[in-house]
Amino acid sequence: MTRFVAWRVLGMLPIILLVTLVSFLLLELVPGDPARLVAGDLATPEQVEATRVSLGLDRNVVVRYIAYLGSVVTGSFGESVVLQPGRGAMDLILQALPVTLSLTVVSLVIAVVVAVPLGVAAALRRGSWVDQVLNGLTSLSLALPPFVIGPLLVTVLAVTYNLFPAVGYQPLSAGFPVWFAYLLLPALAIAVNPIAEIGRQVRGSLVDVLDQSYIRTANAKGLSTTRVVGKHAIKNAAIPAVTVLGLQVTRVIGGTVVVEIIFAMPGIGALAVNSVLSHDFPVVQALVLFSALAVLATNLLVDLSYGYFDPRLRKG
Amino acid sequence: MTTTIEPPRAGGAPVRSTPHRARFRTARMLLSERRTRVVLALLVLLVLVAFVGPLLSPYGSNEQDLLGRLQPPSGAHWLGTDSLGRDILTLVLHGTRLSLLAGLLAVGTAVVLGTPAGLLAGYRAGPFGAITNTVSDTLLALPPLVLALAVVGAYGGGVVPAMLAVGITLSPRFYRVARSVAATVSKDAFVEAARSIGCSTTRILTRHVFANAVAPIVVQVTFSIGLAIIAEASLSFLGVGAAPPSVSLGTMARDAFTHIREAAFPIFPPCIVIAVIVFLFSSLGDGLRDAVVSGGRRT
Amino acid sequence: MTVTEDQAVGVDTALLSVRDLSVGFRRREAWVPILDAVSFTVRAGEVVGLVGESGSGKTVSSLTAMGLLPRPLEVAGGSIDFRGRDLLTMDPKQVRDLRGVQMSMIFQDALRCLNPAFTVGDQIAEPLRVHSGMSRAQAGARAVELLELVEIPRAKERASSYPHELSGGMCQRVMIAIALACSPRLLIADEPTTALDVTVQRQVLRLLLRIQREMDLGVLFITHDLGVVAEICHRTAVMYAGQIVEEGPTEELFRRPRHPYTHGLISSIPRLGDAGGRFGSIAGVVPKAGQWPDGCRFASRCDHVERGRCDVGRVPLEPTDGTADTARTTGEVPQRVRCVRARELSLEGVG
Repeated sequence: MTRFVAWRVLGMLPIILLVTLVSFLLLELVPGDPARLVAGDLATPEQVEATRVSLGLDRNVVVRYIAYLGSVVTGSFGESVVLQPGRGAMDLILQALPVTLSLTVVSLVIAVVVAVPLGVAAALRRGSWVDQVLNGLTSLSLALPPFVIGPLLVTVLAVTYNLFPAVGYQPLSAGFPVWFAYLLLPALAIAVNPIAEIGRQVRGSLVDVLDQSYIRTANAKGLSTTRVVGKHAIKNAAIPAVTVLGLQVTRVIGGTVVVEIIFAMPGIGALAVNSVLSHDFPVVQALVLFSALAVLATNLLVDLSYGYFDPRLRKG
Repeated sequence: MTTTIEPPRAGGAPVRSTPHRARFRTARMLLSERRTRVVLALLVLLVLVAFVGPLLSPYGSNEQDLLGRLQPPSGAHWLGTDSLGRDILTLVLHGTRLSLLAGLLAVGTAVVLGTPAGLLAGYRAGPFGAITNTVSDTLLALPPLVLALAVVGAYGGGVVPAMLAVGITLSPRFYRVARSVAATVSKDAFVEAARSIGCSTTRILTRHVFANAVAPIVVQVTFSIGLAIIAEASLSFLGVGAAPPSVSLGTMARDAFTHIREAAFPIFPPCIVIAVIVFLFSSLGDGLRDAVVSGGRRT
Repeated sequence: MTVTEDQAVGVDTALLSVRDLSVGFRRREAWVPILDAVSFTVRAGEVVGLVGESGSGKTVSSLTAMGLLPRPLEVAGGSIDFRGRDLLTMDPKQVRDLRGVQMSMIFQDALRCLNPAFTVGDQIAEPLRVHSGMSRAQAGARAVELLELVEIPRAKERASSYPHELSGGMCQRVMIAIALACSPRLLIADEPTTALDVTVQRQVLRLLLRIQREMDLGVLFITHDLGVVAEICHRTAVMYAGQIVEEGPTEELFRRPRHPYTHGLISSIPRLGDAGGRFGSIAGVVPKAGQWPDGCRFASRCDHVERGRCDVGRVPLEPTDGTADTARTTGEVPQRVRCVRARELSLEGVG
């Protein structure tokens, strides 16, 4: 198993390298003088020069890239120049991480908890009105991005009826109910899309699985429908669904950017927007790199899970 | 909009030989379902309204009336006014036009970047394919919104750089679809024959392979436009997309949200319009994809 | 190696008694029949063969008996008695309680019939845990015993294998182990050896026979292979176009077939006992479901057809000459045939 993981990580190295290149080159996109932009219009020439040095712009491209790679390996991912000058970008990310992690996890859990039963129900009642309504709803929800649902949820549930807090975040240490109450609306806003995609996939692959001979055997054993579907069918239908779940992570990360701003949550998405608006380039670069690594890690986890769901895929 | 696990293959449609008739046959196959035609008609209507509408409106997109801000719908203003007193209906029309153009730009970029590379990579295995695969996988690891934010942050705001960035992140989809089609078609005996009589690679690619790729690519285009439009609106909502005097549905939503406690209504028009546009595109995509899979054999 | 010398149990201990079973489905307002008043019996301790070409309805008969009829198909009439209780009028939950416990079924292509995500030991233990309430450990131990029963070497190791790690023959043995887990009275085997190599076929058949004798099982053996029928079935029923056309002790059937179709089948085997008897030397094709002609359905392909007698009205399934009386006295199931000219014809069989 560890050999499999090591092999996969090795295979990802070219991609990781390319990602560092992409995030590094972002700075090159800045028209004019980045140092000037960062330092601001009111800065003195000395300040601009100081900023230039802190951005590493006094050295040539190749040296800078190597230095950048160095900062990646040591884990600092560069230093913030505007938001919290001198502090490692990774520090800022780690500080904001718990918020986003909570949000992501709760969103995905909600998505799975809602989508799987929906998908199963639709598969078992294939062609019925339940199935068709579900299909229609999923098509519709794919058209409702987080920044549409977020404000709508806030308007209805927080402003008009005051059921849930509209803004902010409370850490787990403040108690589970409080933590959850602040997370529910933003998580729902993000979860709508994944619910639709996962639900569709669960329905589709379950329909395929239910047609298989081994399901007939399970029925011939006199097992209850719950057991036939819940044990025999689901495990085999899992792989495409888990794949979709993995792909949704990219969506969810994008969703957190918007949702954290709407709900004023101090997470990574908010950090991204703030660093962009304040031209704190090292932090922006670090965030691009970090989110790509998160996506790659998720893909690896998904791949590993395949072995659990389908023994035929296990290596030796 | 649907995340496809495997790119849709032209499974039901036979591999074509003559591109000429193929163009019409493809179009007819794609439009074989009535549902598709209805949605397409609605979309055409939408496009017309979006482009002609602003010209017909009595209000300019920047006509402010600070005394009459945040008014509910009335005879003078069918959808009310925003926080600066501008007519919401006019803004919606302008915003729709911008969204459509933005979507087109992003998807156009994606198609141009992804399709030729995919066709080449699928047609002939080799180092080129390995490199492009890596690039494609890299792009897939970058969440579109994050990359677009970063690009906009570096280069400067505006819809164009944002949409180019979004287009880059969408290109892997087209790369994969094109590669899959090319790989399937290249194994076809027909292509062998063409090669044996000395057709150059480019010729084979442009005439035969591409003809078969058109349908699945069109399907992917419709799904991607929805994504691109949402991306543009999201970026504008965050304040890094469209900037005045441009009007975007996203900036409208931002404006409405900022003043949500003063007036609840203004948030609905932009949100509903976006939902409708994206829903129409994804329905179109569903219909087209079903047509591709069934080879146009229904109705 | 025929076993028909064994007289099946004499007393009327009908395990499974199918009477006038009719099954079909609705297609656009029309009713398409698949089974037409099918009747046959399986008693404890006997192996009954159900023979016919594909599409004759033999699999549908067995699935109906197990309550596993797939969706569009419905039962239109008749009864299926299992140990005296009509399965068709029972609560589905009660039927489910019988499945896997008192009546089991095994299918063709065993590899696909096993769940690729679970070990074979787990799949054998499952009915034991669900129906017999055994603990994980107990069921696991019993699963290993069952694997030994079906002659799988190194049973303990094998129990943690996955289906894709086993050969076709071994998968079929596992299926048999699953079916026998809760010691059923009736086993329905739907073409269990058809997808196997000839040598493996013989081994599995021998295994089935041994188990049948040891456990005094009633077996309904469905196949299109007459060679197999000759090897292990005490009695045989022949199906054609949704009907039973002949039924009787296997030896009698082979020695003196009464129905022209049976005769045609037997004649077309190259050599008795040679597994893999093939159809094909009877001219013509089986009429499709829903397009059955009036009168005898085999008439268009029969060498002995008589216009005016064979094609008018429904041909009933009747006891052959004489055996009706003997049946009443000995309690044996009468030999029956569905042919207007049965008493006149003298068809050649094989010794």
